[in-house]
Amino acid sequence: MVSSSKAERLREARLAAVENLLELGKELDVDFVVSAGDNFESNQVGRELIRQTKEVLEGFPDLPIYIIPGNHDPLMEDYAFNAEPLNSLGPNVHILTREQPVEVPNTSVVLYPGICRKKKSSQSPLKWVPNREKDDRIRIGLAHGNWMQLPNLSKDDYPIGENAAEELDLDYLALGHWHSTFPDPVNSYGKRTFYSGTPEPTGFKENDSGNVLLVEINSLEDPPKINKHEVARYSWVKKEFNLSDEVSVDGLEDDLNSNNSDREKTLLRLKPGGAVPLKVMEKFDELTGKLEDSFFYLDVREADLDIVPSEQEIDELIAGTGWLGDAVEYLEKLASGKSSEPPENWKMEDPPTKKEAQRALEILYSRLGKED
Amino acid sequence: MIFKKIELENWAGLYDSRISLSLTDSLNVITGPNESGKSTTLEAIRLALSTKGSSRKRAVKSCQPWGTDLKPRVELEFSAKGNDYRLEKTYLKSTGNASFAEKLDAGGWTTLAEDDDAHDRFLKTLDLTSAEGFFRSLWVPQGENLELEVNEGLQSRIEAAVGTAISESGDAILDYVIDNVGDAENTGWLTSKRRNPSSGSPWDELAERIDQLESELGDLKDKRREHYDRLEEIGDLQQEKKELEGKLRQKEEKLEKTRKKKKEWDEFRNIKEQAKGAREWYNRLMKARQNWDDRMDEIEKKDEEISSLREELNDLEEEKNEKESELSERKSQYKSARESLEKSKARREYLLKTRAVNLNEKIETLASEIRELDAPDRDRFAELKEIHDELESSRRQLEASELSINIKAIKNLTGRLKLDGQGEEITLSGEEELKRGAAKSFELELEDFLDIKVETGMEGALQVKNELENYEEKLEEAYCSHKVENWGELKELYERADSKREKKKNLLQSLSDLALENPKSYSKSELDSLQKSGSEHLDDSFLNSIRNSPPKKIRELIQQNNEKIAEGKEVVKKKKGDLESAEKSLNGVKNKIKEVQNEIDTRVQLKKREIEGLNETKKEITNLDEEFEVGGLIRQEADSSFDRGTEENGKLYRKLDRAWGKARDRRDELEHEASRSKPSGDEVTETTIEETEEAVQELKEKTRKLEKRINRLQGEIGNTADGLHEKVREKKEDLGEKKRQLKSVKKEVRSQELLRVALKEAKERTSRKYLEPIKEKVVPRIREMTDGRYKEVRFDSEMKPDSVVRRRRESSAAKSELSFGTREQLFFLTRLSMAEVIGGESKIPVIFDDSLVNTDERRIKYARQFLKEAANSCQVILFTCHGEDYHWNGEENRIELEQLP
Repeated sequence: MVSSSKAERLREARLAAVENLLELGKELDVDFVVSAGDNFESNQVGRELIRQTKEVLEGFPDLPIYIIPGNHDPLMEDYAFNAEPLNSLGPNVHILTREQPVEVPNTSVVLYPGICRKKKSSQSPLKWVPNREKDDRIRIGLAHGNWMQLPNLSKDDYPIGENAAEELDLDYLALGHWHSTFPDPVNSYGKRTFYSGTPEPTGFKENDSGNVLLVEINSLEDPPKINKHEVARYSWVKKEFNLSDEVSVDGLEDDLNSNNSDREKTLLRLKPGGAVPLKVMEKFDELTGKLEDSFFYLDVREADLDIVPSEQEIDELIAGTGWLGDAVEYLEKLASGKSSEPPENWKMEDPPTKKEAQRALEILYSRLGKED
Repeated sequence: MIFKKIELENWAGLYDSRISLSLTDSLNVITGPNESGKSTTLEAIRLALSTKGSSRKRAVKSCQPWGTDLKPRVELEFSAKGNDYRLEKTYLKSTGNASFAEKLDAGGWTTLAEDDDAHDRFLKTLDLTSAEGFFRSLWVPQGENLELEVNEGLQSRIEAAVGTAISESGDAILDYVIDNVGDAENTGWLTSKRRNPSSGSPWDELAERIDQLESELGDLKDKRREHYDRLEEIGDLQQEKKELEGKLRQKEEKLEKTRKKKKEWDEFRNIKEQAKGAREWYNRLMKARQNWDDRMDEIEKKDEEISSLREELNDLEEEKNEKESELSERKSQYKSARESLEKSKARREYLLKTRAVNLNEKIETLASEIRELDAPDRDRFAELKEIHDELESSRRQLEASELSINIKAIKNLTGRLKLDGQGEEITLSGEEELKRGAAKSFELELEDFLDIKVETGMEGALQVKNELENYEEKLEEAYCSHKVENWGELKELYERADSKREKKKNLLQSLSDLALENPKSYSKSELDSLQKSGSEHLDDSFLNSIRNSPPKKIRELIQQNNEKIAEGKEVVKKKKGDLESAEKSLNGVKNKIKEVQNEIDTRVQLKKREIEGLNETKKEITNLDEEFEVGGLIRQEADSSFDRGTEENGKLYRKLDRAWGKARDRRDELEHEASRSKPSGDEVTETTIEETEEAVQELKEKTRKLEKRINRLQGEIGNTADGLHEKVREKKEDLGEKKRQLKSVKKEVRSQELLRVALKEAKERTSRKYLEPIKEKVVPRIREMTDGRYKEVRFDSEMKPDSVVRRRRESSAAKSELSFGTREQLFFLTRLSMAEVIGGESKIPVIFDDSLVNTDERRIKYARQFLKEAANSCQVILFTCHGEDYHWNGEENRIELEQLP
């Protein structure tokens, strides 16, 4: 888990990402920016964050910004944008709180916002959207919820129909709720429904976050053009790999060194697999010790990595150590999975696991070294 | 360690004696009789090794020679680890009670420590961590040779001696791990507090902190939940409020419309009311006109009626007067008839009473005549007749008894019985009897003549005959007593008496008649007073006419008077009838008069009413008031006549007619307007407005209440949730971190515990192997010693012999089942073997104090053999009073102790 000071910095980065995207919007001279909800993790955020948010939003007075409530910051009594100081933002910031079409000035765009009034709902936020009736304006939906395109999605998270954009005759449907950009615009020509994802990643599970989508709609006939832009400050990197010997550890190190990304702005998760002897484990531990110092955050998940002492190591463990060898032999069987019989006098709940046997051997090995 | 010299003095039974033993490093036998100090020596050695010089334990005090204040002293010279040492202790001495010295190469001694330090130093030198160390197990005092206690020291010595059990690194790691996780109770550094409670353990600290954080997080989550609940409630209430406001707006619009509508309806109703008023005014005028006419007619009619009734009344008055005069005439007639009747009555009464007086006199006369008519003859006749009757009766009985019939049939019979001419059919069955009373004659016709028996009452007849004769005698006597001859004479007497009786009866009848006529007797004085009282009717002429008249005359006069009275009554009755009829007639006329008068009054009242009705009509036709007043119609008297056809009346009537016309026109106009102006839809009244206003107020009230609730909830929310998210997040992060750490600690603990248990078990397993060298020595020796009787010895987990296996049937026997001899041999051999195993290059002493007292000579031989073998590996010190059993041809170091005084 990230330390609190680093967590604070990650949080600061989120606001910075918003600033980045607004800056980008300004640079690209967009007509307006939409935010599809969950601007805050909750409406009960502290004053300082709210004050900072106001500062950021007011930093772009010429850029129309349209914001809707999400399920984390629903339009309830304590909606942050209904209270001071966010209830007095500039005229360019539009907090949409009603199910009614909103014309975007100086454009032929009409926004159809879906409004989240609670944390959960089994109703689509777009069910109110009227049919197009002799209207040749660009209809853009803006909603927050689960796009029921994937199986096994929760049905009480404001479900949005798989073909909602087509059924409602929307020229584009901007969605919020999922943290990753989906689908990938590169492979999705012709599609009209997208999640931009969070502008700043929030976890290792996100496949593609830290982006903003630039949407260009030139006519009603042509599908919108979507381009993805990175605006995040930090990058979250996952690496899964196998270790077997010292060479593989070296290889990992080389691989990491070859990446030019700013380590101080990178959060790294390592998930080694395989089986390594004690010495290799020691080496890997040394490497992770170094990485911990150089990366912003290092998370090592060793669940799939087995420690299997080599024969030589076993010999070393056993040699000249009298009855200790008996213990080592037993532990080695447990660690390798050859036996699962707990010791006779094992009193703890649940029998010892392979991992625990491996750790026991590690301790033994390291203590032997000290003894020596 | 090898003992070189043992010296003790002032020790228990030694008193001020001393024992000094010089020992070799192999076989040493110290013999002596009982109470020569053998066991004392062993005790002294053990005390020296286990207690400090300053000790005041009971065991120490008991070593003081009894009854003295001698200080027991023991000195041990021994070699260990290549050096010679001397340990000296003098007990019950406060200072200078111990010393531990090392022998110098030059031969002298250098004191290494004194007093209690001497003991500590000694232990340290021998690497003994506890008192006596393992020697306690190996050195057996007398009487304790049937058991073995393998303490830790002995066990570790054995393990050390076996060699393969040693693992210093293993021990070190085990110690390290035990330190972290504790022994079996998991009380190590990782899992529980250290000896210094304030420092805590990672596990405990984390667990506590996690509990605390979970509690705090729970509170924050509760706070957040409450906040969300309030938010949801506010949302719902606002939604409700919105709906209510919508409804309120609708209601208010409806109210507005309703009000407008009401205005229209009010106007309509106003017009309608006016139209109604006009209609009513018209109807009233119409009615008034009609009323006027009707009343006028009525008034005239009443006038006529009243007049005719007045005429009738006058007639009736005349008639009444006639009737009254007729009535008074009849009254006077009636009065005179009554007076005449009264006179006749008074006279009759006087006559009756006069006659009564006369009759009284006559009655008295008759009564005396009757008394004279008493008939003694009759009495005589009665008496005789009685006897005669009795005689006749007896005679008849006699006849009857002579003729009574008793028929008895033996068998069935039927027949006809005739009695005095009367016949009857009889049927008897069997022995039945038929009795009949007396008859003058009888006939019996029997159809079936069989045995019958007919009896007559002859006996009875005789009896009666006797009675008859008696009565005849009585009769004769009676004739004589009454002086008559015969019945004829008696009959004559009777007839005479009878005629007298008849006469008497007539007289009595007369008397009775007179009495009836004269129910009361009157005296003359009464008659006089009656005369005085009725003097107007009883005038002198009347009195003179009846004075001295005979009763017959008086009777006649009475009769006449009665006739007169009857006549007079008739007259009075008639006159009364006339009078009543005249009264009735008069009353009839009076009633008639009354009726007519009432009728007149009624007519007058009715006329008054009609006139009043006209007044009412006038009120309705207000613009005609003045004319009416002028007309003076109202002032007209009710019982005076009324003339409709006057000019004033005509004028008034025409005015009325005009007013009626105007009213009609007005009515039509207003009705037309009303029908034209009627609003559409349902009528709207004040009630409708009120209802709608009520509904509006209700909605407003509900809305107000909702607002109040919302405000309250908003107030409750306030700033309570400010920063709540961050607080929850921080707490979660902290909690997550702590849980992760705890998980890590737990994993580490489990890993280390696994290591600990694995090491310990490995060590124990190995330890069990330590027994092998001992078993290798004990088993063959016991087998040999027992001539193969026992082929195997089993040891328990504490390395003590537990049971043996018999060769025979390979059955096992617990040590408790063994004989004392075999048992002591088993433990003797075990100790010896242990000492051998521990020994080796660095010998240790093993001391036996008569340990084989139950062993026979043959097995002692084996013991000697084994002791000799053991002496190669350990120092054997044998205390025994059976020195002859232990000899090795001078190879041993033999010390003889003498019995102490």
